[in-house]
Amino acid sequence: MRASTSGQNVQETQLQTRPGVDLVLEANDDWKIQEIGFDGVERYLKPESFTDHVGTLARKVEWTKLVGSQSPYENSKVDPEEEFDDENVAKGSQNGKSADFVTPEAGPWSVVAKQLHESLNQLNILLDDMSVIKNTDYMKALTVLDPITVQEPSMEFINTNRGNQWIWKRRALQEAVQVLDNATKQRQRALVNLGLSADYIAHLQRTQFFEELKEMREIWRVRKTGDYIYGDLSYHIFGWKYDTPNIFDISRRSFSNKTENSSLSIIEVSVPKDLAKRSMIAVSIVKDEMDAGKLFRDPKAKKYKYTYKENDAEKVEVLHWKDSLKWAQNTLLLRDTFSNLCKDAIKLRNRLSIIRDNVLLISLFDDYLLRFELQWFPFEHGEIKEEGDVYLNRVLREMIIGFECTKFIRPQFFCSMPVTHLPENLDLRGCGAMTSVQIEDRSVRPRSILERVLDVAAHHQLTQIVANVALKISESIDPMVQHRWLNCGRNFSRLMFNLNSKDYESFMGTVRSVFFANVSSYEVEVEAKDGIKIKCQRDPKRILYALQYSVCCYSVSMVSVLSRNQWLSPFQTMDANIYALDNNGMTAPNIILCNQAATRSILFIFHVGQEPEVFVRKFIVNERTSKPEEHKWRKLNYHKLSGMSLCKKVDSLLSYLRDG
Amino acid sequence: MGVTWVFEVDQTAKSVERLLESFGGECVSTFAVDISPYTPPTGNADHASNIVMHHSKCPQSTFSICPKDTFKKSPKAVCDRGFDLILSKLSNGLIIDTAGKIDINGNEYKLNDWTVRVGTAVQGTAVKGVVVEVEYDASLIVVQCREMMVEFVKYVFNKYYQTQPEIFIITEKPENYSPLDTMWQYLLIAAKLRKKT
Repeated sequence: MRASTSGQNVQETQLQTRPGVDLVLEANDDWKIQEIGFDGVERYLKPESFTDHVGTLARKVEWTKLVGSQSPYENSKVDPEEEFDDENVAKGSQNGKSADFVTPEAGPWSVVAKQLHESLNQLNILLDDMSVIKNTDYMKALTVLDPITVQEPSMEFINTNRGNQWIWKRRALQEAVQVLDNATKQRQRALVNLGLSADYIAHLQRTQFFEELKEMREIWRVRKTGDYIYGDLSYHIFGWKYDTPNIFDISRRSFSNKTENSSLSIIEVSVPKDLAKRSMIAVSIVKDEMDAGKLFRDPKAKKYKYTYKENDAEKVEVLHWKDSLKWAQNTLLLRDTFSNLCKDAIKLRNRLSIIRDNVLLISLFDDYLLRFELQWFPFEHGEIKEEGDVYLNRVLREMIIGFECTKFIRPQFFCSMPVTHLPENLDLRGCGAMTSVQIEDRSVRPRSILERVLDVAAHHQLTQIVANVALKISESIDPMVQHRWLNCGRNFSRLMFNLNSKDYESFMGTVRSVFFANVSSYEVEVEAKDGIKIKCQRDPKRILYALQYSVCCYSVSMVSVLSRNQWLSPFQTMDANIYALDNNGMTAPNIILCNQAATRSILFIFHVGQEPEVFVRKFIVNERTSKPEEHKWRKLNYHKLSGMSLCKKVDSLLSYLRDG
Repeated sequence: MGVTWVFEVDQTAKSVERLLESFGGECVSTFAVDISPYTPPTGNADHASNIVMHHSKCPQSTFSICPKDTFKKSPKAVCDRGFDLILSKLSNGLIIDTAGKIDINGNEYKLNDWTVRVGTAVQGTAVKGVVVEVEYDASLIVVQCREMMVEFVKYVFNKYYQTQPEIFIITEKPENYSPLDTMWQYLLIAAKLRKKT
């Protein structure tokens, strides 16, 4: 780097006369360049590292002077004279007796000495060989000049030779061994076929045990700790498993009698004693009235005597594990379910419930109660009669299993979302800046099984009530009422009613002849026309009334349609009122017709649930001048009108009164 | 959730609460707002700082605004609380400035449709001031109720009503009010409070 003193402007002129000092800065010791490659890369000679330096210095040291040529490499303190062989003694004395580390001078006889040494060594070797040969029996020394003759052994020699005799004996023995081997194999096979050998039986049992264990593992959770194999009876999918009260031990059954062909499984299972019974929950709807009978269990009844009886341990052992485990798990499940139902019932403040002796009675609505009974049966084979309402039993079972299979906690996702109880569709609560009020409103809470069963049972009962009412109203033939279930669900159903007037279907074109009944879990509504709903709560009488009222409205429409018929007998509708009330305050739709000649008015009043009334009077032409006694309504006898159905009667009446 | 006006008052929180109670307000609960600035680590002043806020009214949300010159130009976002966890992983770019964090804690009063939150603003251990948030729950449209809000503040406090928040002034069309507008007001007030001793 050349540095010239940089001058400022002022001093520049002065400095131009005086040359600057040339400075060269170089490193003291550059690495010397070994070569420059064709690509311009310089290869340097690396300077010595510490170890290299030490190495060069070490090479310069004369080790032999320090150590001495005769001394062994490791231990330089050993007396060199002791190491001498016999042959070398002379050599050693020749070469100076100093025991220090002085290399002996090589005199003029050194070559001779060396060669002598070598030959003596070879002599040593020969001596060793000879002693070895002399001592070993099997080695025979041959002289170098002797030819090697292979002596053919004579027959006599062969026969008397001990070695040969041994060979023959061995062969004979081998043949004998083969025969004996065969014999044992055959015997083993025989034993196998007869199944008598203890080993084989144990082997069979072992394989059978493991096969059955494999089969068991397909259905049950099985675990082994040390020497102890056990399984789990709990039914939870998410949650604690292998809880101590719910495990069953697995062991191998020891067969006392080997020849017995038992139908018992090789696996013996010990089921917890409190689960060693079969159980069932029966759900039914009962009415709380005087003649309902005993709603609770009668402790003296025979079939419940079982609950106090101890299990017969021997009988339990005889059962196959497939049955006993299934029953025990069912018992556990139903026991837990029943206790959960009872806990939920206590929490429901606005529903009265009574629990006694494995029976839970909870109020459904009005006089109806929902009854849950946990029944126990002996732990043995046999059919159990299903009691209670089959539909409700199935619904309860489905809800239990659905509850077990539902994940109430959302699993963690990739970007560390918290494990929450809220459903996934509430993810907007963060990004949407939802207030706590909004979050509470939108959160879905799981309803308890008891509440859901109550809804289903209430709906079930209501549909039965509505079905009975529908049957009752279908008895009317004029007009004909037909009903059909449009929609049948667990919590909501819809019934459709069709009205039909026989022989007058052609007139029915514009008349509304269909109405519906909606049944929910709480109430029944009758949908009359144009979406107008009549609330009937849960009263069958009210439902019947509403249906009959709809029929009356239909009749009014039919009368008005019939009266307008051009071909037969045109009448004018003066007034029609379906919201009219009669003298008792009950609804009674009515319609007033007037004939073309304006001489007669006819009044039809359709009372709900009763026969229609027909009145006729002279037509009032001038209301002001008319005298009431001349225009009295005369009641006609509905039965005496000709015609079987309402429409026929109306038709004939209208045609009769057309002109007169 | 409604149109909100946040402003600073120069009286104690207790006196404001008494004032509200005299008008018939009822203390329903407490509230907490915190405003934490996140700055780039020392020596790296390339990018701007980000302000992360939480409001107890929206318990699951985190608000993040990067304040620039105007409200409209500042990038803003509403996210769930996981945002804080993600930010802690980005410590190479943004570090929380714990000294600059401002917490506002106080009570929430309800007056028919109005919710008034009175809180003391604290930075570290130093009390910086008292902040009042007035929320009209019935409406989300600023142009419809800003006059009424001015009247309310004038009626209750008889001062502070002259300086309306930016969102009241700049909005002309009937647009929806969003919680981010509230948090922007908090942000400006927090900046002012930080400068105060």
